[in-house]
Amino acid sequence: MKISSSKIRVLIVDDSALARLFIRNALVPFKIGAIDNAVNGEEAFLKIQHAISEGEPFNIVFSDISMPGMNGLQLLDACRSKPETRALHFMIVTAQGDKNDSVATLARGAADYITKPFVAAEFEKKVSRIFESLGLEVEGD
Amino acid sequence: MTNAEAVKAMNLAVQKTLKTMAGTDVVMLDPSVKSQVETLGDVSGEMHLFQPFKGGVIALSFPKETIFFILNRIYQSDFDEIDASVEDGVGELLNVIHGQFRSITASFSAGALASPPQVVVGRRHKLAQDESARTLIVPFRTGPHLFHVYLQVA
Repeated sequence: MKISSSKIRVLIVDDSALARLFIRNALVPFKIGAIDNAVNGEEAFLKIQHAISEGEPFNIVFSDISMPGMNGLQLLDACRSKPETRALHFMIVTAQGDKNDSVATLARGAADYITKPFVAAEFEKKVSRIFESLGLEVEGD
Repeated sequence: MTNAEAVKAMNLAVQKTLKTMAGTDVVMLDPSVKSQVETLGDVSGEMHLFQPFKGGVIALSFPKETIFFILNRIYQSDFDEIDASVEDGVGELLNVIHGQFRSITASFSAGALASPPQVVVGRRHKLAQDESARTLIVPFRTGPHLFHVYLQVA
């Protein structure tokens, strides 16, 4: 059974408000039910755990890599190390377009990877793939 | 990496970043090389370059009219003062331009490390540069507005 996008929860993790705005705007066509923000890995991990304890877990995390404190890859590793967050879908959104970063990110278990600056069509294609893998459908489609 | 290769890569990185993020075209003007550079704009961002470089800096400096022009296009808003949102925007634009520059010059800078962007408000900011080395200064124009990119790699 498909789950409507209006029922899903997304967390955007980036220390830049401008970067968070770009991701939020790119998610508009997906009619996501709830979008929350975090400015680094520590805040994100706390929000992820809190959401689970409240019975409203996030479905997808969009995270930058380079952030002060816990970075995006450390956040990914922290989530993979806990049974309750191991299956959480991550999409890494980073300015560092090094192929080694891309390979390392996917090897650590991220669902996908996109380099800034991205065009909306490229982002939508990648998010659509994650939606399909999670059995999600866009509200009204 | 020669100065010509660096200028070409920087031009591509700036063009792609501003076209994609702000929907604005950018024209590169004549680059120059100087030592002991101070930034020309009202707000500047800089990142320090490390491994595999011995040192260096990449910086971006905007007169306030230029950064307001760019951010007004992105936010569909009306910036008229240099506030935290403007500083954040300068940092993110520099971060993305640096990432693109690094990607374009991958054969030279693969695995390179850089500090997070640091943003400074005020003119005549002295870059954290090696004073014995020279800095590449690349001016750009977007619409009627100018801005500068600075690059020093040791």
